[in-house]
Amino acid sequence: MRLFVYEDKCTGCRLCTLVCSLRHEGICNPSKSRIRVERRSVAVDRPIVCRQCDNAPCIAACPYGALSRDLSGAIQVDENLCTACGLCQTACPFDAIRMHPSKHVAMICDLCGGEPQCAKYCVLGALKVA
Amino acid sequence: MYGYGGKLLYVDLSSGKIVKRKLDEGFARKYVGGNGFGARLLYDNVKAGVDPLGPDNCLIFAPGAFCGSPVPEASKSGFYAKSPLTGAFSEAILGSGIGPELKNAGYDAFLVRGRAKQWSYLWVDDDDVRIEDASHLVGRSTLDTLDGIREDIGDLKVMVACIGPAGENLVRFACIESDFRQAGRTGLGAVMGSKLLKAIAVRGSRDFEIADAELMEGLLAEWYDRIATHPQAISDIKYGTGEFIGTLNEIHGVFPTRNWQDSVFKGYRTIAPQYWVPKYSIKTKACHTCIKPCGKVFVINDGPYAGVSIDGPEFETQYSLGGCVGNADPELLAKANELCDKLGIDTISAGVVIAWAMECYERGLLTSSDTGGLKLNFGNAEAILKLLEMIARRQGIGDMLAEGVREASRRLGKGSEMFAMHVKGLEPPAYDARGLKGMGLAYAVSTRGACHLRSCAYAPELSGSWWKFKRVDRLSAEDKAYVKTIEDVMALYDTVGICKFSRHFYFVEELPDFFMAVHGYDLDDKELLKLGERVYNLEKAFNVREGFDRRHDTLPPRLLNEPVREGGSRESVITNEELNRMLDEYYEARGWDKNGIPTRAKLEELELNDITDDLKLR
Repeated sequence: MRLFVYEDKCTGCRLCTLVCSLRHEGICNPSKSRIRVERRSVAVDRPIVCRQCDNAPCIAACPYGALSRDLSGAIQVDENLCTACGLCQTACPFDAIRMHPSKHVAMICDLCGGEPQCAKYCVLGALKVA
Repeated sequence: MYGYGGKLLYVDLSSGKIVKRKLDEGFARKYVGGNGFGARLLYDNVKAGVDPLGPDNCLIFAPGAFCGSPVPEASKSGFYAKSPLTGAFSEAILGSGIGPELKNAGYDAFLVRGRAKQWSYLWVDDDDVRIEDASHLVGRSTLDTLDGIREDIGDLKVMVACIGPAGENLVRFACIESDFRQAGRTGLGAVMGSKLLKAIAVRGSRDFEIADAELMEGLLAEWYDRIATHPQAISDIKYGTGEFIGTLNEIHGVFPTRNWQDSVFKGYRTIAPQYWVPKYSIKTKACHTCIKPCGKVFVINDGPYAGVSIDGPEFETQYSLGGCVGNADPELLAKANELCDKLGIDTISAGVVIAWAMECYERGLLTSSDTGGLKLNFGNAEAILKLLEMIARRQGIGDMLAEGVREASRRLGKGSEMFAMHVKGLEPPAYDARGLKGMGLAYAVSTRGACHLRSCAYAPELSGSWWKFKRVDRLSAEDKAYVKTIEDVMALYDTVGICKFSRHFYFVEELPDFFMAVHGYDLDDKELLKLGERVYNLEKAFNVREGFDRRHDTLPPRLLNEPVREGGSRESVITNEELNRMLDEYYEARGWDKNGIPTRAKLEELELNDITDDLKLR
């Protein structure tokens, strides 16, 4: 499974950031969301999220072996091994990785175990799974 | 307390003092958020008779009670102050992400009073709140100001609300821009300008906890399907807010044209979204958490207006800078809309003021020597664009127009007051009340002047029914007391922060579930309506304290004296007798006296006892 982003369809509603943090953290906090949306200008809203790259550079960059790929194709973070060193963040070509502000581990989209909430509530289909 | 940031932020720009107070639970339960917080804080902090552009006026900002949660359509936050345009209570709502961001920063409202010594902006970064120098931002457009602040802070995520040159120059209908949306009406941009407050920047990273995450996920799943498949949502997504412009012209004949001289605009087809969306719109935009997005991004690639890129023009602007000024050119409409957004002017008031000047010019009350050589004929593109600049910078005749149509017509005189379109100083939106008589009542009694959003009465008037109100006859002045109830419903929407374009599916009965999920309160629909009524009466109480009464609940002379000339409302007019009958019926439904003043009994029923003493009510 992979998440596809169609930027021109993004309305900038940012509901994805709330459902993501609600699902993963049980609270509403876009800064703890695995997806973020940058409203660059009146015509540009840019969703930024993991694309589940083949040969994922983040996995290769992690010196602690904290990142792996699960059966759904999602990158999983082993929070016991992750030191929040940030090398995966630097390696990501989509700038899709951020550090969790309180747990100090990498936050990467886990595809919600097969039913990504962000894509489920993306009304014009800017986020799609395939 | 679930669903709240937990603190209120008080900023005094004169002394530089910044105070954070814990949100009192009793206050939160009673006034809930958004409009409720705004109206109560305004009543308590702005005493009667203060100069709206003086340091004693307060600018209040309050996100709706559901803002910050994933409740679909809960995007709205409000700015509140005493209006420099009307001298009355004022609220300007917008769907910007700055509301949720403020809640993530830990605040449910902020209140700014005083006047800074130099141009400043307020920077709220979670607990760290500062007043920063804004001298480098002075004179910059709203969009340039956003870029400037993002550059200062070095973060694209920062949410900004700011004013443009119009707000700096105290244009009395200057708006506040945020997240490419506008808090448009009643001139609150000038209140910011009067405080030398160029902008407010917010970044929030704190957890915002709701009462029941599991219930919320269930509600989301259910409501997502209900909303996304609703015919109204589908049409809003396709054409934005102006989808019904054809019906208004062809069927009802209530689209105010050339300063309300006509009610049908023959050129409407080219400013209708059915024409321009396929041709110019490159994408659809939404407010925060909205799943029925109605923003259509209009881009012009070549010709004299090449480079225009705006969210809109929305329906009200299709009227104000379209029909009302006799303009049928969609590119000119988009250009004028962009200019308003960048300069920071309310498009509705701007269009009506320009339309009034054009009528003055065509009647010979204003001449080329007054206008600096501009020929102010209806539809003149150069005149429209030039006047917007002149208003924002208060140049030439723009200085007089910047005062709003009421004051401009008072200064010019010569009978121009007879066609100055306003109620309590606020220029009206796009519904000719002569063919929608309930809307006439709504304009007359609205707490902020001629406003379509206090009541949204145009919807039942146009379609003949809404919610529990059936058989509404738009050409009759009978049975219009329903306006009272829908005003209460709209005050409730503004309190929880739900967009009024959701009124076709979020009826009052649907809201208790969301209260349970966000706040953990068990409130039934009757209590919710009472909340709306309480908030509306608070707004009214502010106005009563300022000296407003029945005399101010009236309509522009044109609507009372000049029957509609042609179209679906031909020969219709609201007579003084009809207006008085509607007012009597409305005041009675409100439990107010014949003079339009709330009674002691009514305010006590709404648990506003302290206000009855303050107003010395009988």
